[in-house]
Amino acid sequence: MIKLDNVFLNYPDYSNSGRYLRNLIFTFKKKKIYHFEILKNINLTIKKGDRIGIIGNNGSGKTTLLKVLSGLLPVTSGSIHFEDKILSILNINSGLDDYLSARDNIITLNLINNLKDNLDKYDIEKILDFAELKKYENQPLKTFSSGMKLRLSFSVLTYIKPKCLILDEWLSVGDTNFREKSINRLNEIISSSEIFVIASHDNDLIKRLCNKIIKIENGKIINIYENL
Amino acid sequence: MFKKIINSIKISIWLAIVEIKARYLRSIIGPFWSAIILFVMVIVIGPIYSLIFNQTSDYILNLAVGLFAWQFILNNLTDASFSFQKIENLYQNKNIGLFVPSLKTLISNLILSGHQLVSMFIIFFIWSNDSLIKIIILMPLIFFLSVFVYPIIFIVSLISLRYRDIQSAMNSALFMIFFLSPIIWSVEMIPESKRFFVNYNPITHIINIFRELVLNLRIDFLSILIILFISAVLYIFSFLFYKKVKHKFIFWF
Repeated sequence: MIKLDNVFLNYPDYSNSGRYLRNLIFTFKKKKIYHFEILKNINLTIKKGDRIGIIGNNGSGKTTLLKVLSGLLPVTSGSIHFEDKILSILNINSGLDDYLSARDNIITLNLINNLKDNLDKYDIEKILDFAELKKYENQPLKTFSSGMKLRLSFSVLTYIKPKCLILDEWLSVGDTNFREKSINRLNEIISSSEIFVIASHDNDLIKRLCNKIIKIENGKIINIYENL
Repeated sequence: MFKKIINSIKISIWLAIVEIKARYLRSIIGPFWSAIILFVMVIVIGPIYSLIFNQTSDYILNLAVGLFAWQFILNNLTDASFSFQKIENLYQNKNIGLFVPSLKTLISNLILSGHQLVSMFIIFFIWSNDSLIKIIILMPLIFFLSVFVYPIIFIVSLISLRYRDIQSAMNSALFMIFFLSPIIWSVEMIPESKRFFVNYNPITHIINIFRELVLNLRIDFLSILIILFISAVLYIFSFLFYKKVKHKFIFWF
């Protein structure tokens, strides 16, 4: 279960003068850091069996809400409670290192995403097989095409079936053959997971996958459609 | 909590290993380059400066031990100033915590220091008698130094993430500290009445601990106490800093 009570998130803007030490030293009047109000008063309980689709316009706060649900961003006020380990795939390229081999990247992704405690040779073989990258296992990633990198990352991240899965947009990677494979695997994971949350602009996809839809506008939940 | 700490250590060790792998990609000698650099520095600077300072052959051993300890501090602090930026993309799906970059920095430099022991062994073998004992003593000393350096890496890495000026400031500061510390010179070369100024420098005490124990098999208790005291203060400061920034740092990327 994931529970959010009166959650507010103000995102500090460090992009301008706040990032430079010289401004801190030479500006006698301390400049206040501007905060963007991204999430406002979010109350949400996600229970076992919930398949939630988050919809809203660009900049409405969908990705930020996913980041909060994943534990990636702390909330400014309110509380958030997690019960299970969550796998969030917000950026499929996250964690890949161009200078490392496919094999080393698999180990890195497994460790940082805390997927499997003892990832052995057999697991790595299976991941490489699924990604169809067996013969490139010792090649550095910089020699891979972007499609190959996505296939590798997808294969690692979806190797273990998580109890809670959070996705930012639907993942379909690679060429036609691999896309079919990846969709099948994702469908398998979604059907076996206890909680599934996805943010997307694709209303048809959300209707197909989810039993609950949350509509966000300007950081506020404006509607929850249940029992779809 | 315990599982989280173990996981952070596991991630840090792995990232340190792969960073060194990536850094020396397509290099035949690999991390032994750091050992060669140290060795070359000692055999180039050593004879020249021993002439300038009118020193005996002991100077080369003092220089080697001083440079070995200094290189560890220098590499850690230089790497610390961009340790978060180096692994920024790991924080896009998951918050792997704020200890991983600093731990990774420390571990990768421990690995490099391990390689430098080879050149230290050769130097001890050429210029002294009991090279094996000296190397055995150096190993725990580098871990002792890690205890002192870690909170500094932690603080520097986080401040550098927030303020990008630190990277340049750090390089200049370390350059000055190098000349102000008894690395290529020794405290004994300074008149006793003027030594108070050197004694305020913590690096002086670190170098003293290393030189006394490795070269003279003597424990410099005063320097050890001073370093332990400074370390304790740094750990308290790091803890307070951690409490202050643990929810903020993720917005600094």
